[in-house]
Amino acid sequence: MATQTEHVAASPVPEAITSRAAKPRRTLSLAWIWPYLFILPFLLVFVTFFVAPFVYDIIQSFYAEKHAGGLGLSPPKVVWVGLDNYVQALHDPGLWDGFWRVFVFGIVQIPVMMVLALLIALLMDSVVIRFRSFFRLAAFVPYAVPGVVAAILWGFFYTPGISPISQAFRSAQLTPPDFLGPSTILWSIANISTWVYLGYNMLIFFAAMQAIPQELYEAARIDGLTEVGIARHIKIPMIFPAMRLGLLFSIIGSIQLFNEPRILENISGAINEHFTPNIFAYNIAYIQSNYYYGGAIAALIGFITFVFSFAFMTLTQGKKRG
Amino acid sequence: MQHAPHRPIFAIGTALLLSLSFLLAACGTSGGGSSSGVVNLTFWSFNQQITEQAAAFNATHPNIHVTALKEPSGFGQYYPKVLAAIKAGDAPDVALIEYQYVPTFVSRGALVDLTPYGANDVKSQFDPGAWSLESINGAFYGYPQDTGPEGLFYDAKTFAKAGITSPPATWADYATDAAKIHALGKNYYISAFSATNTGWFQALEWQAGALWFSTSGNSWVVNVNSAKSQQVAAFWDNLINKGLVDTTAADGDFQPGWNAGLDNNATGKGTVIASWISAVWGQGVVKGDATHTTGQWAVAQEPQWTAGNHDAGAWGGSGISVIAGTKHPKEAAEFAQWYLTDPASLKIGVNEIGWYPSNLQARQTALSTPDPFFAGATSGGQIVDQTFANENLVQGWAFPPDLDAVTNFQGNDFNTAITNHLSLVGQLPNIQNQIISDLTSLGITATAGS
Repeated sequence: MATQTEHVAASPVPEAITSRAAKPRRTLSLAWIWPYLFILPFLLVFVTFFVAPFVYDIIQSFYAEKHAGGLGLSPPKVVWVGLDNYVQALHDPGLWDGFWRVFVFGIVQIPVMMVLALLIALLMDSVVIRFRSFFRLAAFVPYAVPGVVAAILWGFFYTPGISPISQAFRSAQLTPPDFLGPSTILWSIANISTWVYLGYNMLIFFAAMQAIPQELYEAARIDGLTEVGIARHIKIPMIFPAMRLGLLFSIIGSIQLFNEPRILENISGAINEHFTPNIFAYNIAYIQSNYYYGGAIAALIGFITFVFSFAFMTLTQGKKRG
Repeated sequence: MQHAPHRPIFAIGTALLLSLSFLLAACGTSGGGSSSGVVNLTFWSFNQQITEQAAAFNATHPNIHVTALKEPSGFGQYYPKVLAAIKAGDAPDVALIEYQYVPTFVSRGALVDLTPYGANDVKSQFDPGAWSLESINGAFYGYPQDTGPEGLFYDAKTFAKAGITSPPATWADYATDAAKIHALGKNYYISAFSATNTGWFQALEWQAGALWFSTSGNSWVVNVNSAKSQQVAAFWDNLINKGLVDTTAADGDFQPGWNAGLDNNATGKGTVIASWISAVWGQGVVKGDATHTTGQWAVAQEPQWTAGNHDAGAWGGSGISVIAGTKHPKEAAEFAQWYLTDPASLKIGVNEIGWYPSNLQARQTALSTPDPFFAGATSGGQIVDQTFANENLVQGWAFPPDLDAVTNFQGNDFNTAITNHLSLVGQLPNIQNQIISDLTSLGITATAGS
């Protein structure tokens, strides 16, 4: 802050200085309010649409609808059940099956996507590529397609009866692959995610590379580094913060996998009610209409996502300093 | 920052305005605000033509205005939406609820008892069996609209091509015919088998007399794993194992592949679904999907477990209920009663929506008109509803107070079976256990029947 003030004071803006000098008291008396006023719009939206629903969800998760025995053909009472919903969720194999599936998904899909995004970003940034802006746009366009639309689109490619891929296999006298079977569906979904988010990550990496000072490249070339050497020793280390960000978003995205399986479950029997944690929470809350238990599962998913993100941030931070 | 002190008022004003505009946007506007004493009601259904009926009502009732909204009817769409809307305090005043969901809604305190609003005055106009489906513990929860006894819709041209001269009278015949139809080509199936189409399978169990749910005193008896229930599941296991029914999820009932499959009877190309065990309301679905097969279809009674019987289970069938929380229960009840007793409304229901009405007067008109679309077995067309009217609905089946959970358990376990080539029979014990433990966790008394 000190340097900033000095910088401003030294800048050639006489009005600022004179006005500051003329009414110092009044400025000081109000100064504390400015930052708060300017973050007020954000704060209001943040509290209304994030903090409040989250707190409400957690409160609801301690309740349940109960009947007092009998046939249950009269209105139930909403009663406090403490941690019962959480205990039930932790003992529900469905939830852990979902977590295991998104874990496997993330372990495979994230590295594949990140490496591809990095390679494409490096190609875009290298001098050898022509029509650079065209390729950059082409790689980014899928991200502009909403996730649900992307899933519907790929759903057509996966449906045996209408898929041009299956037709191509058949016309070559080959058995078309089953994209929707129990052993393939996860990778069919991974394919959609990669298609959508590859360009997005590529663009983050590419933008970070653009920010690298040109002097570094000049120095490297004088020292005899090849383009590959520059990529390895300058570009990749310099964009590490951007990669860290991309990875964090991808981890969160994997745990919260929902749109693609939700759309594809209409055409694939392999997607069950607890395919991913979010699908499970959705089914409990809105298919079984058990809002309280669903709320507890949602809170658990939020907590576990937070733990994973925090662990990742902590681990990668240590690496960077070392 | 450094320039801000010039015009503090301006800056504060801007910040406040910005915040206010967000607040206003967040609050939004709710409700159209009724004017001059007109009561506004909302009505949800999954039939398209309800807007015509609402218009007819509004024209004759100047003090009530009904807005009819067609809602999506797919699996896991309509009932979760209604229940969520009730929870959110944003529910319709009147809604179409299928009979099987009435106990589930009552169990959540979601329906208004219509007895104080003159329901019994019109009781004699309705089918007593349908009326009883809406009556629980002396209360009455909805005017019965239509019923859903099951029969067999089949494409007589495809059946003839396979050498089948008369529709299957028994389930043994059905299995034989399934093989004959699949022999026409790998793309030919007598039926789809959709794991998630839970109500359809329950109707098959119902017909066999495998009563999944019944009450004994103050307790539910859950009997999903009975010998009769296993017999029905084993019958379908056999067809599934032989590949005689189409288990592809994308070809399941009401899915795009299935809609096309019905119509493909015209060309024989692509997946062909040659018949459909369905309720009387299914006639509208077949006509809507198989538009290129006019005159090819026919309808027969449901195949029987005992030759010579006329037993049927029911799939769906609906009533019109008033939803708890409405600000105008009197007017809502008036609309519900009008909807199923007024001749103009019933006419639209019978002629355009294709009800097999529970209103006895309207049923007479429904039973008198042959439909040329169903001319596959009778030249000039069949009186479709007559086939269903000749059947006997098997008595004793009750629906549980947690049908949404039952639907989820059954759909998921059958899905697992189909996907992993396991038997349906093998899933029944697990479905039964899940249902009992769900009921118990809701504080409802339930025991296993087997």
